[in-house]
Amino acid sequence: MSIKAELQQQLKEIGYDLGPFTSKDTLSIIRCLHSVVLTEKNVNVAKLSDLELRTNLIQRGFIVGPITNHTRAIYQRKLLEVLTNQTTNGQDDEFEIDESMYQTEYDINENNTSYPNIFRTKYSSGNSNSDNFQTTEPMIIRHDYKATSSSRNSSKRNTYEESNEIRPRIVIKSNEIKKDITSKKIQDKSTNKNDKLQDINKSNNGTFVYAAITIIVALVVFFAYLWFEK
Amino acid sequence: MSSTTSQKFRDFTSEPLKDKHLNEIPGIGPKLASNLEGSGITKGYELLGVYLTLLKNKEYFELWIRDNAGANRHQAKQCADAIDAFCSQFL
Repeated sequence: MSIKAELQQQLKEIGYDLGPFTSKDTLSIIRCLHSVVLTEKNVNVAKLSDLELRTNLIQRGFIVGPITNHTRAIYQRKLLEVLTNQTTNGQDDEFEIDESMYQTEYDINENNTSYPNIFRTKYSSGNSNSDNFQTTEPMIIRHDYKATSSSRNSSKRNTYEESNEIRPRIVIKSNEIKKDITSKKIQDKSTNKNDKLQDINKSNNGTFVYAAITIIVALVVFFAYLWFEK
Repeated sequence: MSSTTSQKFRDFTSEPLKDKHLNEIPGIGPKLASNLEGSGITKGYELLGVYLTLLKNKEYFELWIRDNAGANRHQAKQCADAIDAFCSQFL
């Protein structure tokens, strides 16, 4: 059985009925927090009745809607979070891909600091979240809402760019800089995937190169001005 | 938060849900829709129902969508934003 299926089976036996697509990371975090809460506070969050779950959350200031089959898992997670003061929001599962050296900086809300050491050794697929996000995200958006006429293609492109506005700007910029500079350099490894990996690795160098170019241009303009004024 | 909205988003928030299929919700494409159908959810208003049951809490709804449809964070956010906009428009 795969690790994820194992985790889900274990959690089901404990009494959690999580969604079928819960990520591995989240599953393991929940299992861990459940046992922590069980041993430290002697509260079995999975076995709480709906009413007890509700009163526990309301006592701690949460606004709780009706607890149904759909919503029970969410509120159980919230109770675990508030009892242990840690997030249950794990990294998404992504496709298998070579781990990139690049540390993920793409972190909107989540704190991945809770269990970084324990789970990175086991579930290495979570590590490549940012890289996967950059490579898979454009594909997902392009599939979105295919039934548009050609006159609406511009708006489709807008969503593509607007949703990617944060991340691949560095990639795009470094691509442009490379076009200027690498007319002299020989880039043999210029496939698409390698480009992205290299761009990620060279993004820091790219900004230095960019700054160097602006300084050089400024100097050129400065000397040209002096020369003309002579 | 982007200021430009996609055509799908505009279509979704400009007219009542009626019997729209899951595909027409922004953020949800054919793959996610089939994932949800595996859980027994076929119509757009069922997602709306979950959202309302969670008392219109976008964060909880995003968690739910990620766990039950396999959406990533961005898709979940798009979906939650769209349904929230729909609610503020029509409810």
